[in-house]
Amino acid sequence: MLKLKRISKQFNSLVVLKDVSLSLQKGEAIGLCGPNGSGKSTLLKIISGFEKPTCGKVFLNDRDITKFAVEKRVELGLSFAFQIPRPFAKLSVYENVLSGCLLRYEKEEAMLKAEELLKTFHLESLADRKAENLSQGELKLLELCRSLSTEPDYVLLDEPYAALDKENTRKVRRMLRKMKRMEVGMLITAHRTKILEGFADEVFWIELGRISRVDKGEKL
Amino acid sequence: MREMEEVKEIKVVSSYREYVKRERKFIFIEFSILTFLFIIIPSISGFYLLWLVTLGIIYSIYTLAWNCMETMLGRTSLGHAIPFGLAGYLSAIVFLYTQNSIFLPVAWIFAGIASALLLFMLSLSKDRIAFVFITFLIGAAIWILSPLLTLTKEGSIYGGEEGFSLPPVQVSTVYGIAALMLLASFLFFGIFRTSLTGLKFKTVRDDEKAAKIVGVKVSRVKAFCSLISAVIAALAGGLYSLHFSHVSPEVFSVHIALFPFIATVFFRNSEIGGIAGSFILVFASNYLNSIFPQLYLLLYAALLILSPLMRRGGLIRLLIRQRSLKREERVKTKEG
Repeated sequence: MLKLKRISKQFNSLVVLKDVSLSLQKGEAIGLCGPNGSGKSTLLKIISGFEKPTCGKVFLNDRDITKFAVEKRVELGLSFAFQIPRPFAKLSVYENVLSGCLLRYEKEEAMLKAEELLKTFHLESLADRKAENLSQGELKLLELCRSLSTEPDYVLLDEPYAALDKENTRKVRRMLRKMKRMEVGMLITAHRTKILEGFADEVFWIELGRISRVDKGEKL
Repeated sequence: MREMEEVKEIKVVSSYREYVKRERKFIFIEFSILTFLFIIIPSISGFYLLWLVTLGIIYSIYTLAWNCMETMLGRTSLGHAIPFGLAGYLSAIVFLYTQNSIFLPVAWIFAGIASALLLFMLSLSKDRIAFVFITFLIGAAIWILSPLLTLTKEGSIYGGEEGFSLPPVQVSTVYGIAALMLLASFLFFGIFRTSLTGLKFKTVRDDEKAAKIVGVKVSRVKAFCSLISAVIAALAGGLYSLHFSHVSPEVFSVHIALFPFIATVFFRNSEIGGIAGSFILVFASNYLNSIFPQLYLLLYAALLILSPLMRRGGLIRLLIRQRSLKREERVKTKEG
């Protein structure tokens, strides 16, 4: 279980997050909704290790990981998909995914796993293409696919629908459903709840750094 | 972890394997050509040409070492004159006190490790542009301060502007050692670049933050890369001072610092490109110097000014690209 205990974050005098607590089970999808600047992305950065909380603790399977580096958290089963995709631009799509598979598997097995992942998410036709030559929608799909390459138990998705057209939004949605079927726990930030309909089990509303409301999935 | 869809045909993996195989085939062909050339050159060239080729080989090793930081870590270092020059200086000082050349390689490796530590610490900063300038400034500061280094032995003063002497070694001996070292470095970097470990390094080059997300230990990669790069640059520097039997503050100079940056302007992102670029620069500088002393600096300046244009794919690719653009334009005008 991924558990946040009274996380607060302050940049100088600006309070970005205040006493945020939540927990995420494997196979569960939780939405984090709120306006711009409400602290959603900061919370994901704290969980992934890119930011340190001012106070509070992050637990992964009852282990305190608050002081762990990003790589260590990834090793323990946490993954992150950036809001603005950050591919390895000079590498091919296949190599982008393969680089993550190398964390858990030896050479041959990793190569097969990377191919499996590409096929699962229908990206095999792009395999040889350099990431720098992909469209915004394709980059987003690659970002999600790569976030699964380390075989995580929990994935943090920062605005997976941001800057996507209808067609790609549908593709990402399909991808997220597949991830849920794969029993991956997901924490997804979004501006609106509409896009979380159908697969989010709970939606936490964040306003001014605090959780203001929690909606159950059926309510969406 | 989880149930994946059943996949029967394995196409992507085999095409990737083919790609790696093709790349390695090229590396072995290039390696064989280089070996052949290095075997026949001593028998067909006179003393001066052999001396010049040896210099080209030494600079090529230096360029390959620099290229490792550039292509694996995405860090453009203008401070590789530090391991290069330090190795020369340290070995000369060790020789001054011991009068025994057996300690020279130890001094080179020590200089490499010390410089690697500096490069590693600087590479920890996320700011890649700052890395370029700081490495350059430290290198330049050492260049300015190195004439102040003087040592006294048995009443005589050594060092200063004059530098230090090293034991005279036959050109053919330096040639042999340098050629072997270049071939070994060429093969090592070529195979490493196309390996899966090399792939992990390239993730750091492209995006350090994203590399962490796929579990790559970025600091470890930086440490390894700095060590390999600095030690090989130091070995090249040691051979350089042995080649001249002398070392002076000039080994830390700006033109040494800029050399690999300019040498890789011609053909980018390949080991053979770095070697070809180094030889072009050494022979062109030699020719220009014969016309007028220090004229080669004009060539350096011109290439440096043009480098932003050329660096994306190298000068050769730039020319090919421009040619194809012109051809396309001609076709369009005809069609119009």
